[in-house]
Formats: sequence, structure tokens, C-alpha cells
Amino acid sequence: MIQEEFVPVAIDQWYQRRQQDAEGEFYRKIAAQGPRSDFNQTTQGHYACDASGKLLGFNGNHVDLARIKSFMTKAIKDFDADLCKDTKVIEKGTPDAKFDYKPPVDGLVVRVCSKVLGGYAKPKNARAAAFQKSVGMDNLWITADEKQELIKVVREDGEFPSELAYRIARFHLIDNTRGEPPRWDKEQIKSIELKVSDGHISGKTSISTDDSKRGYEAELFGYVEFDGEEVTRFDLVAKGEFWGEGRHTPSAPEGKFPLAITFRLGDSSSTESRAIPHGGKGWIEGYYQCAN
Amino acid sequence: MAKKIVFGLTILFVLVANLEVDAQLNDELFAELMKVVPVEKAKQIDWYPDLLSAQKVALQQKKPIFIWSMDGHPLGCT
Repeated sequence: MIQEEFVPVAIDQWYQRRQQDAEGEFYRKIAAQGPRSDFNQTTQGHYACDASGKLLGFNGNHVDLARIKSFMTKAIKDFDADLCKDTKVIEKGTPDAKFDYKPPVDGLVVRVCSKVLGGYAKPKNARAAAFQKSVGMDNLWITADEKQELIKVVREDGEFPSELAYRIARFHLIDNTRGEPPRWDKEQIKSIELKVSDGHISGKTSISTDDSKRGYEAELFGYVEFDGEEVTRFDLVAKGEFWGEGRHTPSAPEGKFPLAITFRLGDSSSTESRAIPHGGKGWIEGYYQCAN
Repeated sequence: MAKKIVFGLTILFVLVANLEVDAQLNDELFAELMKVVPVEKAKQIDWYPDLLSAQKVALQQKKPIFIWSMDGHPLGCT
């Protein structure tokens, strides 16, 4: 229904409600008509609007399918294309540089997925059950220079590029299956050891907060291959015991629980690859230079 | 038939047990985990990456816009 009846767009509104550019203005015009019009706070939810920016409906971020369907049905009924006959295409103009992040040119985008493999108590309701089964998603962005460094390591065997290893540990070895997770500080990475031999990646990591309330002890195992100057395979798995939760990731299993995280080479031109890594939100330089 | 079911359940039990306990990662477990933690299903919909591209298409196709707006990117970490 979304694909056939609407033009679907997926965004992290943390950016659009701040952006001082044409897209930010258009978003705020739409959101201001809904109940979440304070742009110093979250405006997340499902919105339906026409091309002029007229709001046709708002659904919060409810996950009940019947409610979403009802919201969409009403929006379609209320939509009148004739009301947009004088509406012009909004020119993109110059994007707000503070929020205009793109995947690294000639680099790599790796899709990262995470899943809790067990340890949950019986869910109290359907929403809790959905979270317990959910797969967390993110992107690992690798620069062109790091790609070449990776290829060199595969050619010659040796230690995995240090900056990249820290980036994986700090921003991607996390439990993001129930919401936006806290990142790890550099000091919380007690160790990250990764080596490459004949294209096979192996290693382990130990991560913990100072108070030991949250951490991850895991093994890593995978493969990286290249053809000429291009990486053709980057498959990596981390598996180990995680413990603890964050402010936005409550209701983790009690104690230590098994968490697996998979990494796969993505399509750099796809929409999902343009999703900014969570660890780079608001400060992409800190994401790239995370070992310092 | 009963033997087949018992055999199947045994394999399933061993597989789940391997995923949950502190099993050493090897090629077999690596392949299994790549299946168990799949690439997500959001790709079933061709989401536009920005609002203004969607606005342009909405005008051309005379359709309303559906905005999935989250804290964190819906196709990334949210």
C-alpha cells in the first residue's frame, strides 16, 4: 500500500528539524501542523502530506498495523491532487553543510545487523515480543584510504587497520535491537584484537563501562576479499555475551545474554547505504577518527 | 516418521544451543549466524532518501507523500 499509493520517504528527523535549508524548511512546515511542533524535541512519527506540504495525517510511531492502515486509508481519501496544481518543485539549493553527510567517495558501506539470540523472559505484550525478535541495523562507513589499507593487509597478512577496528568496536559492537543505543567511549574498549591471514579475519574484543553495568565480550570471525583495487567481500560476524542496556534500549535480558552482529558489504548507491552511521550522528569526524 | 521428527528436533536443539552458548566461532557457525541475523526486510519498499526528491515525484505522479520520520534513521540505527 505504501509503495503503490504513496511516495515513501524515510528520514532521521534529528537532521531535518535542524537543517537550515530547503529540505529542513519543508519538513518543519509539515511537522508544524501536527502535534509534535516543538523543534527542540523529537518530531518522530508517520506523516502523510501532499506535495505542497499540507498535512493529511499523523500517526505517531505506533507499530500497530491496523492503526497504520487506517491512517493511510484516511490520508488517501483526503488527498486531492488538484490542490497541488499550482505547487512547484522545491529546488534543493545549497544543503546545510552541518547536516549534509554522504557515504565516503570510493569507500565502502557495510551493512551491520544485530540480534539477541536468547535470554529474554516471556514478553508481556505484542510490542515487547516484537522488540525481542527484532534485528538492529546500521551502516559501517569505510573511507577510500581505509579500503586501500584493508586491501594491503589482505595482500600481506597482518593486523587489521587500527582506526577501523576501533570504529567497529566503539560504534558497531552494540545492542541496537530495541532502540538507539549508547556508543562506547574509547576508554571502554579494553581490547580489540583483529588480524587477517589469507583473507580470513579473526579476533576478539572486551568492552565494558567502568562500573561494569554494560559490556560485551565477543569473538570475531569473517572474510575479506578483493579484486584489483576493489573489495569484493567483507563478511564478518561478532558473537559473544552482552550485558546491560541504555536509556533508549530498555528491557534487555537479565544478566549476560548472547548477541550476534553481522557485517556484509552493502550497495553504496542504495537508499539504506545513505543512512548515516549512528556513531557519526552530529559529528562524522569523530566517527572516522575514533581511535584518538 | 517419528524418528525423522526426533532427528530434526535434535538438530534444531543443537543448532540453537550452539548459537546461545559460548561456542567457538568456526566456518559452520559463521554461516549459520549470517543466516540467523539477516539483512533486514525494509528493502521491500523503495524508500526515497530525502524529502525534496519525494516532493518532486509526488507532483509528477500526483500521489501523497508518506514520511517515516524517526529518531535515528529508519533504514539504519533507530
